[in-house]
Amino acid sequence: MTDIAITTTDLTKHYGDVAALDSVSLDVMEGEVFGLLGHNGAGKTTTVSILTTLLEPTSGTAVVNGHDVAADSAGVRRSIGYLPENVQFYDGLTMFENLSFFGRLSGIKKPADRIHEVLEFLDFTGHESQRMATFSKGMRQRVGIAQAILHDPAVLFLDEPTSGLDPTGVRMLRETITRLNTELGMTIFMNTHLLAEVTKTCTSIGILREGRLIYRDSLEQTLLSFPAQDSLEEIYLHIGSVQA
Amino acid sequence: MPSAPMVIFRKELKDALRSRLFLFLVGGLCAIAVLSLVVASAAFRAKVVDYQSYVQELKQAGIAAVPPPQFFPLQMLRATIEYLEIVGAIVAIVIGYGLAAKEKNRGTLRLIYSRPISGSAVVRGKLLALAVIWVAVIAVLGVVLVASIRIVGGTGLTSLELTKLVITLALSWVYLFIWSALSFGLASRTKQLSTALIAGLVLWLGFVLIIPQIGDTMDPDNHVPGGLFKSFQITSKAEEVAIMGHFSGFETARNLIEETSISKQFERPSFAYLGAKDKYNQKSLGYIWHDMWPKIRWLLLGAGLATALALAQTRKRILGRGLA
Amino acid sequence: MSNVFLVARQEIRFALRERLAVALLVIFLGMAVVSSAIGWASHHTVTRVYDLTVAQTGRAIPNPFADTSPLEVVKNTIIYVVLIGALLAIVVGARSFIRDRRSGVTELILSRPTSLRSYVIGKLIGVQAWLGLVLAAAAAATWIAVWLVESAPLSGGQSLRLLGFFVLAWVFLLPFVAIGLIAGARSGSESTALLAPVLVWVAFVFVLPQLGTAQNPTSLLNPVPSAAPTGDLFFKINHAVLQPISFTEHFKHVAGVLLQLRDIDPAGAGRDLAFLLVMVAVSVAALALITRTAVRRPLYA
Repeated sequence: MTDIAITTTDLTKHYGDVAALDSVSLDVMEGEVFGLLGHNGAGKTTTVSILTTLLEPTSGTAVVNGHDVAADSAGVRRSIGYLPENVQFYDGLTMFENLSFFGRLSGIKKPADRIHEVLEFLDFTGHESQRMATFSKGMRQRVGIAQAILHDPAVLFLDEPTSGLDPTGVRMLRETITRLNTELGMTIFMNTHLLAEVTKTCTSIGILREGRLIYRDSLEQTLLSFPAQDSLEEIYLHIGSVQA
Repeated sequence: MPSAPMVIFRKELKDALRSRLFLFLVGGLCAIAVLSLVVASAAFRAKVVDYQSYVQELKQAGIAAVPPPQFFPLQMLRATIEYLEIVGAIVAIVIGYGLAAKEKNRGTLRLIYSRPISGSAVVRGKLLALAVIWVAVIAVLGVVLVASIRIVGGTGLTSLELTKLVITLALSWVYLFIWSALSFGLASRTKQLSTALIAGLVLWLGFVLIIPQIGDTMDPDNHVPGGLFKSFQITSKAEEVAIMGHFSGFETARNLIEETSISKQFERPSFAYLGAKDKYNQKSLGYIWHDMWPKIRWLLLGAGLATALALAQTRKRILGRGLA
Repeated sequence: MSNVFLVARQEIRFALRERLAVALLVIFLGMAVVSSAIGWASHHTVTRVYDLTVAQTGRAIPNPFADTSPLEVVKNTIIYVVLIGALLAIVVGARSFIRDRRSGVTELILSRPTSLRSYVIGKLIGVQAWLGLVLAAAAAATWIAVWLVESAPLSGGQSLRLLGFFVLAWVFLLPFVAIGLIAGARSGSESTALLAPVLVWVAFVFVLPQLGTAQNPTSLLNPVPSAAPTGDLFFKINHAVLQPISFTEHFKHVAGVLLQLRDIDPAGAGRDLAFLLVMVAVSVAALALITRTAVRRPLYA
């Protein structure tokens, strides 16, 4: 029986009078590739920020890998990797130096070997001594994934990972996510807009609308439950309009 | 497990060494310091020329010659200290501000804080980097100054003079660290970086330029060329004090205003060690330390407060303000 | 031409909303009031010191404050313009381009039928206009402050002189705005964009005058410009070469003449004003250093 990797119970976040998240309760099992969908401003980044302990919830609880985000945030951070949207690095340093820095902060004493291992896994060797200032968006994204998995986390959080990538970059990312999940057994929690990619990558989905979780199920079951809709995009729009 | 502050510290040093800004800073400060030495040396030469023509006139009038002006090499560094006081402070503010601004502007704080590091690790690492960066800058400046005194002034420093110079440079380090730590603390604390920059500049304007200038403006002796009391042929300090005793309120206010300036707390002991004023010229280390300890104490307190402000910006506080 | 005023209007709109620009206004107003108050307190106390000393010593020397203009209390404002005004002009100028480059707006502007020259001149006009408003407010605050401390309003002639001083200050600040704009447009990082023009400011306010007069930096904070030592060839040459470009000293001199300060010799004020105007023209011409390539470079913190 698989364990629960991520669980939230009535997770709520207010900014003044605005409820960015409103009583969100969801479970993500170990080994899942979970896609969190929603319109702009729905609360996806807020959800990921809370789960990665960068934000404190107003109320409710969240547990990641058995660690409570409020009571044991350091424990959470030891077991997760995080790729923010539009990730930035220290442009004056080389790729290796950037990865070494973040690897050490994650507790890796001598990260050199691990960096090479990760870059080989990502098929991204040969650029170690290049300064980050010279990297394209797609290259930065690969370095972003590299820094997120250096310490072999159990759960990987990806915030809009395909944002700004060309089709080649999108395919590369999809293949990487799949390999991280199938070969390394990582649980993946991903915010995204690209529904076509969700169909190819995710095993389960959730839909946020104005801070509320309005839908949650496996991808397979979702596609079966809405026979009238031809694609995930149509299912998404249908669910959204029903809820509205 | 490598300590997070040390990881951050090493990264900051690497950044600084690669940064053209850092080289620009060191180069600029050294250039200004050497230039000041050249000017001071030229001014001393001018003084000697004036002295020689004065002696000629006295000889012609049959009056015995007065002693020649004496050359004290450390006195040539007075302008350098003033530059560190004024320009060094603003450079320190920009350096401290930049250390916080670059993380916020890039969004790398999110990458850092999603790691299992403790509350003040980032701040401690960066403060340590600031301290070491300024040690390096001051050390380079010290070497340049000693070499320049030899080349421009044509003389070396005695071991006592060298010790006094080292103490002065140590005071300079404390002073510059105060401004960097303060600016870093402000930039880490504020949501809008521009607020921190404004606050830093306003504090600099107030404490480095305006307050000392107010103190000078309020000094009655500065209102008449050559000094107000000299114009009355009052040369005795006791008589001067007796007159100003009738204006104790004004004098107290003036002194209090000057005492609030951290730059004055730096300037006075530095000038004392350099022998810029006759009272302390050629005096022993112990004598100067005893007299200047109240000022040095304030300077050290300032460093403590600035460090405390920066350390107060913990992970929880920074994330709580939505700064990452 | 309309694009120039569009950009200028945008700058003023930002100024009204940006904390830095509003802080500038508050600082200048505060400076005007403080300068007058300190000037009056010092003048009043020193006059009493003089009177007491004459009474106690029986020595009669000319009263150093006889027949001084009421504008004498405003003397420190000259230094505040050189220190506060110039520095803030640099920061506002630099941040104008930093703001656009950081947000990526430069790409949007340059991809429109707007010439780079219009863009840059528009920024200069906008920032100068805001500085003009700030100085006008400071002039009014100073006029009122002088009235309060002197218990009498300035005469028409004195009021015109005060106004003339603030107009001169506005002209004096333009090169610093230009330096800030150039740094903000060309620098690779925000820190360099702020630091580089500050060091240029240090050169003009302290280093150049020091080379020509042997005065120490804190002495140069005296509103009365310094005289060059006469004996030494080093200073004679430096003074001759550097004097035309020491435009902060020119400003101090002309400002002192306008305010009728007692320690200022009016001779040479016309020449110094001419030098100042030449520097203004040179700084405007230097805006040509802002190129399309430069402003499109990414900005690192």
